[in-house]
Amino acid sequence: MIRVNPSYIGIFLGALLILFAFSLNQAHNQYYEAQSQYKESLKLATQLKSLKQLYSRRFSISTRAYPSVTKKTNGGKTTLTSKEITLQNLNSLMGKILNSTYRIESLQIKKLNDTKASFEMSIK
Amino acid sequence: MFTKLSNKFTKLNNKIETIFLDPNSQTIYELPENEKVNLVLSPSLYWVKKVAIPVKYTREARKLVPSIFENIIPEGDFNYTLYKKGEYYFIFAYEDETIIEAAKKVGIKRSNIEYIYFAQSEMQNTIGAIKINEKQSLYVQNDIVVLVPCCWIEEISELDIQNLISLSKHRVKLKRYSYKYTGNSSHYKLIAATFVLLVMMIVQYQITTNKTEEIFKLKERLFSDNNLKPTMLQNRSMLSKYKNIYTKQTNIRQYLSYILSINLMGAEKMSDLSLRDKMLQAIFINASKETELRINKTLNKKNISFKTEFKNDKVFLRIFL
Repeated sequence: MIRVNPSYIGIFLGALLILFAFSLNQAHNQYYEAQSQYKESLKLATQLKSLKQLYSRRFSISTRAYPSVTKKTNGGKTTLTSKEITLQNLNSLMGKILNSTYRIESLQIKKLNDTKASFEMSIK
Repeated sequence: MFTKLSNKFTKLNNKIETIFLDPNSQTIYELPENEKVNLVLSPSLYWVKKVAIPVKYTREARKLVPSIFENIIPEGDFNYTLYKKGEYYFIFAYEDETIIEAAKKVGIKRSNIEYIYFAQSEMQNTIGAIKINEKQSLYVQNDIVVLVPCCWIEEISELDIQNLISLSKHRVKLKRYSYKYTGNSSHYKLIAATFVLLVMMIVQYQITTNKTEEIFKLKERLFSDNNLKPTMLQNRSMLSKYKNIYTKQTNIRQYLSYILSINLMGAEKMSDLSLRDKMLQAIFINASKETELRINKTLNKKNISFKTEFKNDKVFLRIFL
């Protein structure tokens, strides 16, 4: 019969306990780290998704109501130009664009007289 | 019967008393806690065999001892020892627990025991029989010290161990740990508690690992559902880009509203409005220095970065995005 000193069993179990305590601690750290990373990713994904939705919209305002305005689309870029637009129409069109979330890249408005202006706008 | 012996022969043991330990003795000893005694075991407390083992060294013979006793001694927690005499080995099997129990019966605690000797090694030169208790005597037969009933041998001498025994070098020490001695129940409880703790830790480890894996899976799903880039660095960079767009577009709208809120007087008019790169510019005509001051006053309240310039009746307003 093999005799094992109880102290040796105690030391062995103690060592195992320390080893598992260490492993458990590492597993807990890994878990908290994963949880923290997930929370960060979730926050980032939510922000990114909402911002993408905001600024990835294609220009969809109809220019039919503004006959003097020419619309050109090149890739994802839309250019609106008018050599002569009434201030009333310009005001209406600008109101629609500014109240939406289109990405205005450039703008040029030049007043021609008290009722008309020239207009050029680039939207992405 | 227990016989106290004064060991006068061994320098090392000259202060330690020697007691003959016989389980059938009625004598009770009262030893102080720190007093040490040597025990000479009665043959009833050990198993002995005289054998010829065809090996060169004792250490080789030592390995064979348990197998020699196999099927001879009952099942138990035995220790083994041996010594060589002539061509023969005297091999012994003994149980610490049995010795401790026998000693305990006569008032000797384990802590009192220094060394254990065997009657075989200490009394093998005895001539005739020696009475050790009312019913038994020691007798040497074929070099083996055996117990015989008192009535078997007519010529019996009383145990005068002091004259008979000179302690040999063939001695053993009790193992430091014995299950009974150390209190197996407390040990087992401790071991069981540690084991339960270990099992709980393993279960906890498994649960934590599973939870971590679940989080990783959720993260993967989050990435695929939101079309995120594979690394967080790329995603952070993309978010930063969109945040810049958000800031710029919000500022454009905000600053335009500031420009349109400027109070113009008399013939003052805004003739040009342009946005280029990171600058929003407005030109006011029919303006004066006063117009510039008014514009500055209005925009200073807004806490934005801007610049005005008055030139040829025109005020140039430049707001930096």
